[in-house]
Amino acid sequence: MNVLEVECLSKKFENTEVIKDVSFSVKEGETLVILGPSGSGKSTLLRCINNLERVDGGNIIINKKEMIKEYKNNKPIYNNKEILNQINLDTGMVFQDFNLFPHLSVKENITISLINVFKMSKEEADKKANEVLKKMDLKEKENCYPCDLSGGQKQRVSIARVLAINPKIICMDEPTSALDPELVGEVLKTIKALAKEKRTMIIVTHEIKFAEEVADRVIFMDGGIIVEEGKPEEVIKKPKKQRTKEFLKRYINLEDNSMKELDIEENKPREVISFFKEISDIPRESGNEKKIRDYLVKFAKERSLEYYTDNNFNVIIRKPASSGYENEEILGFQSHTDMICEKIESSMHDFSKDPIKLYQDGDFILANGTTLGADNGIGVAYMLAILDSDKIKGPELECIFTTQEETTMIGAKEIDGKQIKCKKIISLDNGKQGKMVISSANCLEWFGEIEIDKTNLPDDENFVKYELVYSNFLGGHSGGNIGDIKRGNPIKLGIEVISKIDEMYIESLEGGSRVNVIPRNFRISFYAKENDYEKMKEKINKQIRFFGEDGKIELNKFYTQIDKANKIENCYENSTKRKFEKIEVFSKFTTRKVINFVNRFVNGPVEYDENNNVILSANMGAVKMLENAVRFEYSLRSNDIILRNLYLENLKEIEKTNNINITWEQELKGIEPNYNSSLVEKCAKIYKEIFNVDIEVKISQGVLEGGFFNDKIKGLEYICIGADTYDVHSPKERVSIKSIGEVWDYIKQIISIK
Amino acid sequence: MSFEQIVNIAKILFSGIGVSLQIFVLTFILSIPLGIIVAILRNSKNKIISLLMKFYILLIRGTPIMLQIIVVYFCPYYMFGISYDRFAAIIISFVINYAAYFSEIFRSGINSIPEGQKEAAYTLGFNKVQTFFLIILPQVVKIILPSMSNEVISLLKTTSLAQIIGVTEMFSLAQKQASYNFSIIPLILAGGYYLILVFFVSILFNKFEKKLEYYS
Repeated sequence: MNVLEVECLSKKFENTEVIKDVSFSVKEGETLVILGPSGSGKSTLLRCINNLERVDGGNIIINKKEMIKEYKNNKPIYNNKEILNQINLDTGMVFQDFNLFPHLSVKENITISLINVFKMSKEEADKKANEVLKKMDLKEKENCYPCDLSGGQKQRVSIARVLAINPKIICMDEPTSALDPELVGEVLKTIKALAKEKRTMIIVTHEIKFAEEVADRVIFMDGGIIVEEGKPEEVIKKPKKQRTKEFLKRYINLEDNSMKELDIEENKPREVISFFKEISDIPRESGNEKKIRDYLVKFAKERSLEYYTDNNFNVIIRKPASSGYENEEILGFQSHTDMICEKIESSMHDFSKDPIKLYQDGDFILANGTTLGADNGIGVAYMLAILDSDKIKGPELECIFTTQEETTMIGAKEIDGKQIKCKKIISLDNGKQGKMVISSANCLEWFGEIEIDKTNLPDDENFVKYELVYSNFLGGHSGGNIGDIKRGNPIKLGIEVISKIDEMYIESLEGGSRVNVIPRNFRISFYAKENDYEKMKEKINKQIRFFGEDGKIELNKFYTQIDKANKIENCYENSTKRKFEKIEVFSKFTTRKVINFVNRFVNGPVEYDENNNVILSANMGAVKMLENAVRFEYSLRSNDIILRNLYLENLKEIEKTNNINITWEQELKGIEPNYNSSLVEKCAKIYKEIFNVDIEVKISQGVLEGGFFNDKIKGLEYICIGADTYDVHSPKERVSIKSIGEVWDYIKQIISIK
Repeated sequence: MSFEQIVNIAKILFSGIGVSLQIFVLTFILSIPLGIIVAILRNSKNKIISLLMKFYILLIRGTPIMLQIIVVYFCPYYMFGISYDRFAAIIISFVINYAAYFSEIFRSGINSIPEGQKEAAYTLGFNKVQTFFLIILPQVVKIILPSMSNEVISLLKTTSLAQIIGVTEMFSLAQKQASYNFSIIPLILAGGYYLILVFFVSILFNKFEKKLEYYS
């Protein structure tokens, strides 16, 4: 039975037609979702159904009662009050901005209509209110007032209010649009539960993913007409009309025709891709690797392969040598099982339990609005394919699956070295085919503190307060991006400017975020006797700077007046806020130490090798104000221990002269590049044979998991290769199928050639 | 002037407070409903009614209350030869005057309630009267309270104009005493009484405001 019928409805606002001849119906128990861009007439349609707007043409029939009796001179004549009232009570409306009654408690918001409209007794009304509040999980909030509730709770109260009057059809006008993103979920969950109960509902929303889950039918509206109508899997997954596609494309990057679900049968190498699909079904967020560990253990057991696993969910699986290879050296492979979990805002993907569905766009495999996990799932898939295959002939193989590479590296750090037999390890964690990384940086990290000695600002009315702010620099990772001088270090730049000012007192400073991140911002406030803003500004403009497009430098001058008691009145130009405070600043000695240390700290790429790879780099990652000290967080990465030690000697000297107090220090051991290792030579030769080009041998300032094996395995030889992946760690992450195939051939050759 | 004399004058003035308060309370009670009605009619979609109300508000706010009192009392006499109770005339003219001021305050309050409140009430089945009294008015009260307290305090002091048509209230007694004794002290005493009365009215309003602070 149709609860609602809309017949040829049209509605004008002044001369614009916002709804043009729209007809549709809603069956009892059906959930209809209306999608469409802003201004497409969706909300107006709901308002017409609720008689909050008068229509200009057509009719609305709710529960067999017509809203409009007849037309006279093309003007609608509405039915009498009694019928309109009945229609009104048959429809309920949930508003975008809740429209709860602020002067009434949560419970009264619900009972007021029951008592006054439905003429229930107070007891009956209370009972009903309790019932719906319980259902909305808001029982304990019944005596609160709307102003005490979160947005999500408010919307649930407004849903409860509508449920209490039990209308035949509930309209919801963008019920989550006014909510903070983190509150959207609870409301959507509530609505989903109502849909399951077979409530008749019309929902206008922008949450596409939610629409797909909750709708029995979807209508897509644009420009006041229904463009497309059908089941959600049709309209959302396979829209026919161009307008629908364009709209949906903004929310999910899926609806492109070129993109389809990945078909394993159609793509080669099937053995690798099918394993990748299998592990993509297993949630494996960094730090949550138990399930993938269990899968790997099961995999080994099924194939009667020798395996080892530990408390960090690391797994090692061994495969015996093929006949004829018994005397060859054991060969190791290594990948990490965890992945970075990032998603686009509208994605409802739950990384802790949802499988990642694989899609194909041309040569690329990608996920729908989430990271793909090709970093390093493709490596894991290679190792599984190697272990699974009985066609590949080769020596005894050892596949090491590590965990938490993306976060703490604890898997590689704590794996038991005695369990690893091989001395040659090929890591499959490289995102570029045609490049082979043969080193892992040695990384030293420090927190160094300079004690703050405070004094009062000298009693001199010529002092002016300035604030120098660097913001939105490019930043980046201190391993991967340090070679790029465009990224400029705002801490260094800022201190450099400051140091050129005579008679200056620092009040406070801070910048950067973490020791292994190139800082993106820096702020320092100080007092100087220079009153001329332009002259000050000139000192900054003289700097040669590289800081990307968004990098911004601001100098703010405060107007100051100092009275006899050495109190100072500060205010920004144009600001009306005035306050008195006694000014405490760094003593001259402290100021000098801070400036001296930062200025003498050699930052950025320090040394290069003959191929222009950075082999020594330092990063002043952050400067923070503690209670009694300024803390500097800095790191040093190197691929050459001699150069490093030279730098270190110099650094220790600087630290000493400036009374830097080291509070924390950590060393991550690296792997020094060895161009002449037999593994590097063999793999480079095979690559040349297959692809007829030289593989590029790279030195990296990044810390690879192999760095942790160095201590555990004497005489370790380590390289890192892999298939082409793009935009890793972002929802755009994708991997090239062609490259997967080529690298697969390469790996097979490496194993088989003696 | 001796202390005894002052006490005596204070007693005389005190006897006038009753009339002042009567005017105040009656005007207050009668002008509020009238103000609400005017505010609603002023918002009416019927252009004639709305225009009429606009004119009424303009007329009342545009002329001195003293003139209004005189007109209300003497007009019937000059036009029809009817004379009536002076006190009644004061109440009528005060109610007409304050209803105009109150109506504008109510109107601003009503208009500041979001349209969504009415829409929500409508979809829940309330009729217009229920919507107004159960949803709109309670919220309006909170909003207009500060400006109402202003207007009410001014009303309390304006009661002194009742003497224009010979209604004896506190301030007229004070004036008489002042000229009788050649002294300003009776007027200062009267000022003291007004101050005390206003003080209590302010306290009442503050209490009421506090009471409505349970929501925001």
